[in-house]
This record gives sequence, structure tokens and C-alpha cells, in this order.
Amino acid sequence: MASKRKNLSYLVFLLPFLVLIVLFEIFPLVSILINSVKPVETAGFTLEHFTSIFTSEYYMMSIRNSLMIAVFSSLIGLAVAVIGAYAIHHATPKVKRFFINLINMTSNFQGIQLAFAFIILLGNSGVLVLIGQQMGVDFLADFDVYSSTGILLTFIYFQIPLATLLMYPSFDAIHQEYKEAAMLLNASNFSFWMRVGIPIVLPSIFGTFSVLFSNALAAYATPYALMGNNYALLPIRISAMFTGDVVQQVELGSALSVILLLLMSVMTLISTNLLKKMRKEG
Amino acid sequence: MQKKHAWFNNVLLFVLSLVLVLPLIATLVNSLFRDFTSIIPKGFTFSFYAELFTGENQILPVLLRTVVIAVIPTIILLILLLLAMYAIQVYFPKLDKYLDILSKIPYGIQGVILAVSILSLYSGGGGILSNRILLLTSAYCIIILPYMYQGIKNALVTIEVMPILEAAEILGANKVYAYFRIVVPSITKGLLATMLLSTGILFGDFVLVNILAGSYYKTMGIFLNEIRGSSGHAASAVSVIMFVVMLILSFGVNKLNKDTKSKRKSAKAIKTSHSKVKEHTNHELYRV
Repeated sequence: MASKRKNLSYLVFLLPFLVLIVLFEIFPLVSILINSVKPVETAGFTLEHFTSIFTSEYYMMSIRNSLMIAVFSSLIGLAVAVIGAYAIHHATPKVKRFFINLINMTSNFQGIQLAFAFIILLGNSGVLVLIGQQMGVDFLADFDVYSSTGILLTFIYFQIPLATLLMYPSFDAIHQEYKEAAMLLNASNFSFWMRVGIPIVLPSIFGTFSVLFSNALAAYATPYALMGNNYALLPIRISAMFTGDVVQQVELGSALSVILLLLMSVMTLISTNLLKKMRKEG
Repeated sequence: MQKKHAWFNNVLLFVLSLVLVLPLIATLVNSLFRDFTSIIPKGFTFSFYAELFTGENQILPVLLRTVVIAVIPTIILLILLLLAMYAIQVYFPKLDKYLDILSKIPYGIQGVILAVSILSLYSGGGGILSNRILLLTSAYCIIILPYMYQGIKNALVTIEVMPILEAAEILGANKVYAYFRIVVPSITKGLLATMLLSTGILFGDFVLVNILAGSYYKTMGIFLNEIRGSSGHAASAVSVIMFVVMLILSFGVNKLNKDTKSKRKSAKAIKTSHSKVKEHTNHELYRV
């Protein structure tokens, strides 16, 4: 009895942490959920914010843009990263260490800084654009960094280091012995990768893709630095609805936030389920 | 078979490196030359840097402010987490899985949603909770929670906490005293690495500060965004300084982690059944 009361007094140790979590993690999350189904200015329940989002050409465009850029930047970033990770696996140790340090370094360079660097390179008077004009390379001369292509390119740039960092350890699981065994069994290089190599790294590929996808879907600083509040992308639209000087549309913004959260959770669920299935089969 | 292909893969990595550092080099060159409109830049100068430290719009106060707002949340959260983890480990082991879940939720919320939800919930209310700097500090605590939690947990795995506490109790010290005088000091390096990592994440933040406190508390991110409207060269210099600070921070993290890793290995060998050390959570997924 006495020890039980003593134990309870140690709840005091938990209290400060719980206050922080409840006030700034649980309450905000719950308030977003409630606001998304609450009529403007009154209490009650409504789905009108969601219906107005799904019937509005503009909001649907934000969702579409976000999804497209997230999918493409993840796929391209992942493809480059897989090649990079493969090369790391086969490179000499010195080069390997150098490259890993380098991607660690470049993964620090993102958000506003990355967007700004792209403006220096490919902005209206960017050095690559000017070089393109002088040398007659149309692709560079006409490149518009303040566009979907520009945003996609910057996104790919921050996805590559992240994806490579997540991917390269999985290639270490392909031991030299496997290759030797395959060679003894007369397997070609191609069939070794098809039957042994790729199945080993496949779970990593799915896991990395889902991380990249969420990462791109929620990215805010890079597109904001390039286009301000003027681009139809989910995070940009959401923040504009809460920080607008004239009109704030908290309820609509909350509904958009819920959609963003759902998109990310669905992706994470799919990938964890796939991973589970693969582990069972493997 | 492998040797033959090594040179090809080396070349591939060099090309990839070159492509990846291109934006970095462009920023650096633009900060050091007056004219960067062709491949060969003209007019080398340090004046853009000098201007930042002596001119009207000084960077030093901003840098200091950013360091303060990036360090304080890590200290607060470290204390709160150490207290909470102590209580859970010693008295309420069953609560551990809830702590785990709570600590991983911020990972899924992401910056924008956390920022707007906190803003809409508290900023209009008045009183102490509507103070923007308080809101920013608390939001920062939540953002770094997954990394701090995992880091502290990994550090605690390296030593046998319960036997130490029990031994201390037999010798007459109380458990709280033993926890903070013996356990915590012996994992200082691991804790420091975690704090540095979190500081680095917060130092580069733009999302939360821009939404929650942009006009109240000017950090490096806000400063960079402002100054690029007036001078591209000055903005490049700011970007380079920011990058150097983050590089120093991540260098510190690596150094500290290397030191603890050897320790962790020996600890792992002794008690493999106890717990699996997860190391890959160190990647900073959020800061975009």
C-alpha cells in the first residue's frame, strides 16, 4: 500500500512531458480533425468542406499537383539512388567513403537554400540559362525554374541524397558468397540479380519510396521559396489558409490538412503491409 | 568480376557527386564574385561577407537568435524525456509502449500541419499561450521528439540501468539520485549527439518559424528569405554561412556517434537479448 502511493508520486515525473504532449501534439491534432468537419462559425457536424474541396477545380489541382510531384520526384530520386547505391556497393573503399560523406553533406543543403541555389543556376538570369542562351542550348535557355518542372527538379535534388542514405546499407546484405555460389551454379549476372539481388533490396526500395513520398508531399520551404503562396500545392495552400492576412479559412484548411494526412497514412500503410508480406514470404 | 567494374562505378559516383554539389558550388561562387553570369565568374571579393558582419543588416544577432531557439527546445525536451523515461522504466514499465507511440506521432504529422494546427488553436486566445515564441519553442519540442526519443533510448541501451539503480539503492543512495548522478552522466556523449542532431534540424527550419513566428522572431531561414529580395550575392553569403554551421553540427554528431559506437558494440555483445538498437532513425527526414 505504502509503496503503491510512493509509486504514484512518481507520476509527477511524467507530468511535465504529458503537459507538453497533450497541449502541443494531441490537442492540435484533434482540433484539426474537429475543425475539418465543423460548420463555419457554429457548432455541429458537416462534410461541406470536403465536398467543396472535391468539387473545386482549384483545390483538386493542388491535390493533383502534390501527388504528381511527390510520385515523380520519389520515383526519379529512387531510381538515381538505386544506381548510386549499386555503385557504392561496387566502388573502391576510398571512393565509397568519399561519396557517403558527400551525400551526408548535401543532405544538409535543402529548403530555402536549395531553392535559392536553383534560382542562381536556373532563374531568369541564372548562370546556366545565360550559358544556354550564349551557346544556343534551348533546353537550358528556356528553362523556367518558377514552374512545375522547376519544383520537380528541386524536389528530385533533395530526394537523391536522402534516398541514397536509406538505400545503400541494404546492398551490403548481398554478400560476395551469394555471387560466388550463383556463379558455381552457372547463373549469369543477369539471373543472379533477378533471382537473388533484387529480391534482397526490394523491401528497402518500397520502404524508401514511402519515406520519400511523404517527404515530398509535405515539403513546404522549397516551393514557398520559389513561388511564394502562388502555387497550387497542398502544403502551400494549407498554410495560406491559416496565415492569410485578409481571410482565414481555418475549417477548409483543416479539411485540406486531413486530406494530406490521409494521403500520407495510406502510403505508409500500403508500404508496411507490403513489407510484412515480403518478410513472410522471404 | 568485381574488380573489373570498380573503375566504372567510381566514375559513376564522381559524376553523381558533381551533379549533387552543383547547387552548393553555385551558391558559394555567387557569394564570392560580383559578376556570375558566365562560366568564369569575375570580380572576386569578400565584401558580401564583410557587409553582413559590419553593415546595417547584421547577421550576427540573427545567427545568435537562431542558435538560441534551436538549442533551448533540445534542453527542455531532454529534461522532460529523461524524467518521463525514468518514471516509466522504474515504476510504470507497462506505459513504455504508449510513450513509444506518442513519440513517433510527430513523424507522421509533418511541419506544416503541426504549425497551422497550433497556430489556429492558440494564437487567437490571448494570455501566455498565445505568445508566439512560446508556441514556436513548444512546436520545436514536438518536431524533434522522435529523434530525441530514439536517441536517448539508444543511449540508455548501452548501460544496464536497473542493476545500477538497485546497486545504488543497496548502498543507500535513492534511485532518483543514482539516475541523475550515475546513469545520466555516463551516457553524456550519446545525449549530446542526439541534442546536436536535433539542433541541426531546428537550425535549418523554415516551415514552423515562417508560419508560427515569422515576423516575431527572425531566424536564419527568415533572414535568408528576406535578404534575397534585395541582394542575391548577400543572400548567397547567408546561405553559405548557414550551411557551414549545419556542417559543423553534423560533424559533431558524427564524431560523438563514432565515440559511442565502440562502447555500444561491447554493450550489445553482453546483452543481445535485451533490445535491438535501431540506428537508421538518424536520418533527418523532416527538414524540407
